[in-house]
Formats: sequence, structure tokens, C-alpha cells
Amino acid sequence: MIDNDIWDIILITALSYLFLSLVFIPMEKVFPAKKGQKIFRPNWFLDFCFFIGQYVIWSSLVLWTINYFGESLSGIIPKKIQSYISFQPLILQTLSVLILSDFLIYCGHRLQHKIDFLWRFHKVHHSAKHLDWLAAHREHPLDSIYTIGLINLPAYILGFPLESIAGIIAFRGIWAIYIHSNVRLPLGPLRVLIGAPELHHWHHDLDRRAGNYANISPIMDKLFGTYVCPPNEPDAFGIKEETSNTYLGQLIEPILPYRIWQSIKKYFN
Amino acid sequence: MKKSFIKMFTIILFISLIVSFICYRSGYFDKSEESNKNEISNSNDSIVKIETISSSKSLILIDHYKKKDTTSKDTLINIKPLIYSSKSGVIFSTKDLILLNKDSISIDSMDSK
Repeated sequence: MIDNDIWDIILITALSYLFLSLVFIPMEKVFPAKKGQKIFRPNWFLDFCFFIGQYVIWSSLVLWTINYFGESLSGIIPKKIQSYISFQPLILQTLSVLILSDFLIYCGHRLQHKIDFLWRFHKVHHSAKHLDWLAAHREHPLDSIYTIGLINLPAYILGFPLESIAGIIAFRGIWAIYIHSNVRLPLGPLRVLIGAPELHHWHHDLDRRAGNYANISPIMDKLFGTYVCPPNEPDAFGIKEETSNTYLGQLIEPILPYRIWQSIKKYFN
Repeated sequence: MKKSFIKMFTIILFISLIVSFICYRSGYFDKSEESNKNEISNSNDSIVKIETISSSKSLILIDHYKKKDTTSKDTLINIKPLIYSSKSGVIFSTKDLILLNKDSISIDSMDSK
């Protein structure tokens, strides 16, 4: 039984990898943002480890944690109010949940860049020096719990059935990967509505406070004055701090005090 | 000429794959199974047999186009999709595979009748 489960996980990970490669690699080759960047660029294996880690270990743990705490959050608002909300037109409920989610994640994301404790975990994602669809998966599991938890909070509190907007959720999921891809294909005015790689690439600029904090759609950035859209690509991606270059190192470093991490590093060097 | 053809083809491929993925997640590929389901329920088969034909998508998204179907009792009805953040989202989960296997077994058993 366990063997079957492991086999299923391996199969689904391989299937997801193949599907995503088919979606994004042709785009990265035909419309490259950084010309000459290879598929197997430096640190490809590190990002591949994050991809495998997410599918094999962390995604179920993250989803379990969020569902576990989410269930208790649904009791915060009285049932009467929840049922009143549920009688509103679906389009109104959907818009409210999406706008509230985007607002929360915008604030949460800005805090991740401002507060050092949150940045410890979030910088793992920003440590990628080469952006492509695979680099999108470089994310510390505790960072995932924070961001996915925040973005789903309004739906849990309002008791909104996310099942009813599965198509929108699917689009947001795959678009989140797309905005990291090594693609430059200007969308024109549409990019203000659904976001684009050229905007998110600037978020990954070396400057920790570069802007474009909004989730997918940059409407919140427009509203709060953090929208950045120069006509060119940033010179370099990544972070200014020194950070581990291994999968285990990137997972462990944020959860350990600085001194202990330095001693571990010294020991292994 | 050749370059613009490649560009056009790449964009069409990209859009088609994304649209197919969204349709898959929304349960649009289940419509044929929905019709199978009706045929079986008309032929006085037991409810248990009807349930085995249910696919992952129609059950997860049961509120989406079936409103409230009280006859479905699949355990996976409790799965709640989540909004992913601006980073990566899991594209397929093992539940998709489990339910796909279940679907194929059900279809095989229908064929053998």
C-alpha cells in the first residue's frame, strides 16, 4: 500500500514536471527575457530539488496545516452572517474573496520584505539568480504556509466554497509559475489585470524593496504606489546577502539562530 | 515568415495548454461521464455502481455544476482547493491520479458488461 502511494507520488511529480516543461519551455525559448539562458542553467539542480521537495513532501504538509487551522477559522464569523453572505450572488462573493485575498497577501508580502524575521524565510525564494518556471518552486515550506494561509484566510472566514471557482484558482496557480518564467511577451494593458513576467522579474531585482509586491494582478501595487515597470529587464536577480547554495542549507538556515548556522557552516567547510 | 510561424505556434500551444488545464480543473472533461451516469441511473442500476463512475473533478467541483447532489458519498468530496500565492502552485496532486485510476477501473467494468 505504501509502495503504491510512493509510486503514485513519483508518477504525479513526473507528470507535473513534463506538463509544466511543455507549457513553459517553448515560450522561454521563443520569447526569452534573458537571451542565451539555458534550460540547465547554474543552480538548476537546486531548483529541481525544491520542485521534487514540494511535490513529494511539503505540499501535503502545507495543505494539511492550512486546512487544519482553516477549519477552526471558519467559526470566527457567526453562522448567520456566513449564511447571509452565501445568499449573495456568486460573482459578488467571488470578487469580495479575491479582492480581500489580494489585499491581505499584498500587505503580508510587503511585511516579508520589511521585517527581518519574515525575510529569513522569504529570501530563500529570492535567492534565485536565474529566473525561469522551475525557479518559481524555490520556496521555504514555512514561507508557503504563511503566504497560502494568508491568501486563503478570507475564504475560510467567510465560509466561501473555493470549489465553485476552481477554474480561477487553476488559472492563478499556473500564472504564478508563468510570471517567474524567462519570458518577455508584453501583454499591453492586460498586464495591469493579470500580471506579467516583466513585472515580477523586477520584484526579483537585487534591491530587497524593489516593488511589485502584489499577487498575480498588480492592481494593489497601482493603488499603493509600489508598481514598477521599466522597459528593460533587471541586470541581475537574487539577494545581496550571502546564503546557502544547497537544498538542505536553504531549508535549515532560516530556522536556526545566525550563530549556530555559522558554526555549522564552519564545521562543514 | 518561418520565425513568425514558430512564434504563432508557440503562443497557440501555450494558450491551448493553459485553457485545457483550467478546463480539466473546472471539470469540463467530465461531461461525457455525466451522460454515462444518466444512462446507468435510467437502467435501474444500484446507487453504488453510479458512484464508482464519478470522477475526481465532478466530485470536487460538485457545487459548481451539479448544485447539491445528496446521492454522492465519495470521501473526496471533502477536498478543498486552495488559492496559491504568487509563487508556485501544485499542478496535479496524487488525488488526481487515485481518482483517475478509479475512473478507468469503473469504465473497464462498464465495458465488460
